[in-house]
Amino acid sequence: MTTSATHQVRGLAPSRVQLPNGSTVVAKETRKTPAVSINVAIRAGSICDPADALGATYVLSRVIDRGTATRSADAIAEELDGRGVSLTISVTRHLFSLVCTCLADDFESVLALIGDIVKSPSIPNEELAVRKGEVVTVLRQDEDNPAVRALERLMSLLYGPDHPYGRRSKGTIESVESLTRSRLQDLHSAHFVPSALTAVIVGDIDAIRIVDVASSVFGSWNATTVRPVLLPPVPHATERRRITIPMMNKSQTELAYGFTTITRDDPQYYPFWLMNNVFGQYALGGRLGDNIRERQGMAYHVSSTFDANILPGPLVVRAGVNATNVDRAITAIDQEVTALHREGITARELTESRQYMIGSMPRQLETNAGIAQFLQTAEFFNLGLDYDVRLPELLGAVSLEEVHAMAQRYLDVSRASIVIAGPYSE
Amino acid sequence: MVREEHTAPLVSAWCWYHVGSKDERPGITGVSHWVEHMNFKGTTNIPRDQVKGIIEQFGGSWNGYTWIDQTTYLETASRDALERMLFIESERMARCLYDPEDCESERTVIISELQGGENDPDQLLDQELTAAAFNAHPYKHPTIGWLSDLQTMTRDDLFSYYHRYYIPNNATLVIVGDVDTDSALKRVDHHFGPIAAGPNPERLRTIEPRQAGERRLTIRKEGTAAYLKVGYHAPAVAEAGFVPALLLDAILTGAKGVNLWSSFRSQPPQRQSRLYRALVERGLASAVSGAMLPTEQPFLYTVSLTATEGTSHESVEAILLEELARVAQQGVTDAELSRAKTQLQAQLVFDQDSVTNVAHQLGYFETIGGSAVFEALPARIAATTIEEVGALAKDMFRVSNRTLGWFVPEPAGDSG
Repeated sequence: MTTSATHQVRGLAPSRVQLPNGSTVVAKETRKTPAVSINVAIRAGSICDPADALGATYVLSRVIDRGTATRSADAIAEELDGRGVSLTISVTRHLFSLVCTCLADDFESVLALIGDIVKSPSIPNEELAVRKGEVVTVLRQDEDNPAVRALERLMSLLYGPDHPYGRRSKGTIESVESLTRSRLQDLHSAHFVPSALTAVIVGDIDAIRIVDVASSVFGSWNATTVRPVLLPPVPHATERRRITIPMMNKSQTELAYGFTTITRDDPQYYPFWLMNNVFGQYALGGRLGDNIRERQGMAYHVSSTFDANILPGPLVVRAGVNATNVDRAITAIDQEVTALHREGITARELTESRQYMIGSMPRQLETNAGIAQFLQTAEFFNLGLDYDVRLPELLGAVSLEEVHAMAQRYLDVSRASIVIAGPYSE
Repeated sequence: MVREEHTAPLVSAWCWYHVGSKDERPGITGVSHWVEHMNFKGTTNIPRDQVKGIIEQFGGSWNGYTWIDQTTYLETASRDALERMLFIESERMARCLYDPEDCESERTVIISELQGGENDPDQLLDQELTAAAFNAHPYKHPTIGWLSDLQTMTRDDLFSYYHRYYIPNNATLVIVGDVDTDSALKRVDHHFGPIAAGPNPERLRTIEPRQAGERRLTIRKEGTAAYLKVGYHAPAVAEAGFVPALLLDAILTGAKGVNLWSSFRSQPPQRQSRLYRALVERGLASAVSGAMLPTEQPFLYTVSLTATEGTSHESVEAILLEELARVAQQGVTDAELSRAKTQLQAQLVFDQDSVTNVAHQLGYFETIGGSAVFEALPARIAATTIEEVGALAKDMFRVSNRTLGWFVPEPAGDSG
């Protein structure tokens, strides 16, 4: 077992232990409420979906807690419900996460249960059939949701329909219906291994005890074989593209407008992050909010998100507008993109956004769940145990020129991809 | 109300106004919510172009919301921002501008918000069901308002409403965080002391008459999934039946807690709940949820479900109503009540995890029923008996107390 802890006296200074089998435990003791937040993530997100079984990881997330080698679905439900615990299981491109908050007194039992779910799901056929039916209904609901349709189509446009970042993580009705128990078992055994797991535990428990309990839950797990996932390179748009999805039964049109950007480990991540804050986040939607909501009164929601990842992630602008305002709204987004591309941001904007992003950290790290999510992200991207302490310095070092260079390189209206979904047709 | 919490260098300030959509009359529905929007548009001493960033420079977040009984504004930021928060909230109470151009610009923003909500069939059904469930009480109209009122309301409607309700004697200020109570109160007095009280707003006198028979509605509209919602008139927060109703909801659909700001952002623990087992586990519904919300006057207990693709609507409705009839006739078991109590008590702990959440709960309950109601909840939950839950179920789940609504999806081009 290898142990490390920051020598900082400031900041979170969590304890981190790597168990002999390769799994990682990050522990942080707090004294906020008599509760504990558990955030267990396995590097087995939707990129692991086989090309002929799209949605397999998502369906696995719906069925993994419905029975294990030693517990029935009913027994698991009783253990969770009886303690007032709601276990949220979610899938992103790279991570399969099990997250919950429980009372401190229940910590050992709840972590043991999560360990059992992660290590030995039984995936009963009757449970799989019911969960597949639920997923099909969710997919049908998504088909009727302009916001979901616009975003999914944009990702497909940016990355290509077969790229792991471009395809629907929930799969299709056909692919979900064709999934079998053995297919999901195969997926689980190929990607759920100790070296892919990080358990972050934050709450009203002594950190040494957290590590002891987590070691006993995950330390004896011996699965070893990981099937590697090949990630194709990300294509870069060479022209402006505009797609319309007419949904004439809807009241409002949703826009998704975006670019591919950079990876999370790119040294220019911090300039890019600051640029996006100015562009579509700061004080209710940044420059986009000022233009489209405040000055033109066109939208209730408008903002941009930046999601740098293992591969170059997307920057996506989203807005909900009346169909008669679609072209005006796209013009306004183009104006803001062009302004950033040509002139970058102002010194005042840089200062304000930096001050906000640094100043908001105590809020982000106020709750156990917030700390756990922060530490899980830091672990995934290998940012270090002292990342919370270093982050202000990293943001503080960003110059106006670096921000402008990012805008010049990545924000270009002639290479924008745009999807319009709603009561609108060209 | 000031509560010291020294776990983080943060403070959360909420200013609550005892005004919501139930205080509106036909013609100005949605005015409470529109006024809330206008109160972010600059004041005498905070010019419009200086609103942006006023709390962000302290790393803070700010927001507001309007619902049926209340309107509220909040800032959460570093503790040194308290003075700024009190300044903002005192300005908001007394010195908002209501520039005519801003009123017009916000009209389209709010209509956009309304249309965004209409994109969601479940939200549309909820709006129609609530309107059908009330004959007389203004809880019947949506907080965002009806479209024609939003199109015709004037700047004067907004401004006079603001003046009527935004007065110190209709407000509760809550401060929670890393502060010293005495010095915080002195600063509150400095900022709010000079603001004159106004005439106490006239309060609603309408009491919803007892429902005489079941009401039903069906929305047929282009869509892809079917939604069923059933609503029953339910006890107000201070009434004896409220806590039994909360426990009953936990038994039927899992405990959500009572924090409107945070409790409903994740799924409740519901695998063992009656309706989940009867509907979701049997593959008839992809999701089921219940909502028993703390309100000032008797509102609705609603159960909502999404029918699974291919399921007969008749059978899913029959099973839902059978389950509700069964609990009305036979009550609940000791084991169910015990589990529901554990869930609710745990949720009350989870909901206290931030200064923002603590402050929300104090102000929310103070506005609709007195903070003592909130403080007494753990004891009330512990003391509730199986007989009280059974009696509440029997009374609430009468057929004549029910409004039932369907959203039935139609193929493209067939909607009527």
